[in-house]
Amino acid sequence: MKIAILSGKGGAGKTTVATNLALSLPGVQLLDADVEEPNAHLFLNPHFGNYLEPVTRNVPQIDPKKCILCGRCVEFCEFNALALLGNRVIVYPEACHSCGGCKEVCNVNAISGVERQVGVLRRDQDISGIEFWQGELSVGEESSIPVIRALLKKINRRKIAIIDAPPGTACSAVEVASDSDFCLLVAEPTPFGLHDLQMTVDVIEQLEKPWGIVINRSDSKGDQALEDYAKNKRIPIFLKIPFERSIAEFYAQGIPFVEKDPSWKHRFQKMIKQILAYCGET
Amino acid sequence: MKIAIPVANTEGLNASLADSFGRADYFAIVELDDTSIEFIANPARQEGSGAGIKAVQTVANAKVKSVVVPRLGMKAIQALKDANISSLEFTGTTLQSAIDAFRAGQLKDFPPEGCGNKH
Repeated sequence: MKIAILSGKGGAGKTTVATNLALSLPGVQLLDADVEEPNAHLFLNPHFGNYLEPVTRNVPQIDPKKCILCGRCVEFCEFNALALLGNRVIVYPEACHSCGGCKEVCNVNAISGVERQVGVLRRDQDISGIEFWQGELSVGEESSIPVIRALLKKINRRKIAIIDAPPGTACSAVEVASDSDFCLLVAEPTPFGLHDLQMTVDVIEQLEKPWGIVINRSDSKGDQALEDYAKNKRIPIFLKIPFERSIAEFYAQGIPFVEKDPSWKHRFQKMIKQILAYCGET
Repeated sequence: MKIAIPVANTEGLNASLADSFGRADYFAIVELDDTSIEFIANPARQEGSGAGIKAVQTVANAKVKSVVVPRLGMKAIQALKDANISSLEFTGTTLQSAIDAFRAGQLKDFPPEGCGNKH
C-alpha cells in the first residue's frame, strides 16, 4: 500500500502528517520524495551512516569525428540542452531531460549516451521501526524526476509505504501521486489553503485514485469552507490536526507531536484503518 | 565587428535595454563599423528551460563578438564562453547608452561565477 502525502503549496503540513503517521504505525517505510529540499530528517534524526547511492541519468555525448554539424539535434531539443557553436555541438547536460531524441534524429550516429550523476539516495533502516529513505537532487539540476523514480523503486510492496511528496502540482508531485495507491491531501483552513487544495484536486482527480483530506491547523470556524468543498467533491476528510500552540512548539523543536502525546498515535492508526477500508483493503 | 545587446523594443537607438539576456524580447545586433542596427526577435524568450543557451545560439548565429548585458545566468555564461563571445556588464537605459559605453571601453567582463544573487 503506497500512500502519497500531497499538498498544493509548501508549508501545509505534508511532512508533519508523513512523519507523525509513520511513527504511529509498526514496520512502515517512509520516503522523503521532496528531493529539492527534503526535511523529514529534521524530525526523525536518521543515521545514514555510509549508505549513499548515486542516482544517474543518461545524457548525450557527441563524437566530433562523426558529427557533420547539421544542427538537427540542436533544433530538436525542446530543453535547449545542445548548441552548435563555432565548429562543434556542445552538450549542456544540466538542461538535458534524457529523452534520447537527439540520438534518434542524428543521421550519422554521432551521438551516444553517458551516465551523469544527478542526485543521491540515503537510507536509515530502522528509526523506531521505520525504514527511512531520502532522495536528494544535486544543486543546479533542473529535473527531479530521475531521483524520485530511483527513490520509489525502494518501495517494498509488503509494507505500508508513506511518501512525502514535493509540494505543488508540477511533474514531480504527479510522479509521486501517479505511482501511489492512495493520495492523502493536506490542506489548511484558509482562503489560500482552499485555493491550493482545489489546484491539487484538479490535478489528482485525473489520476482516478482513491483519496482523502487531512485538515492541518484545523479550527472550527475556518474548516467550514474546506468541508463544504470536500463534501461537494465527495472527498472524505480523514483527520483534523488542531491549530494548537503546543503542536507548533514541538514542530519548532523538531519533535513529532505523537511522541509527546501518544493518544495521537491511536488517531493516526484509526485513520489508516479507515483508509484501508475505504480502499477495499483490510 | 558586431555586438549584441538585449532590448525590450525596437525603437532604434532609443530602444530600451532589456533587464535580462535569455528572456529579452529582442536582440539589437549592432555593426560598430557603421552603427547599423538589426533587431532580431529572441526565440528563447518564452522557453520553459535553457533560454540562456538558446539565446547564445541566436547571437552566435548572428556572428557577434561580444554581448553587453545587465545580467547573465550560469548556463548563458558557459555557452558564451564556448561560443568565444565576450560578455560585458552594463546597466543603463537606452541602446545608445550601451553602445557608447562599449565604444568608450569602460565595460568590464562578467565575472565567471555570474552575477550571483542578482540573477
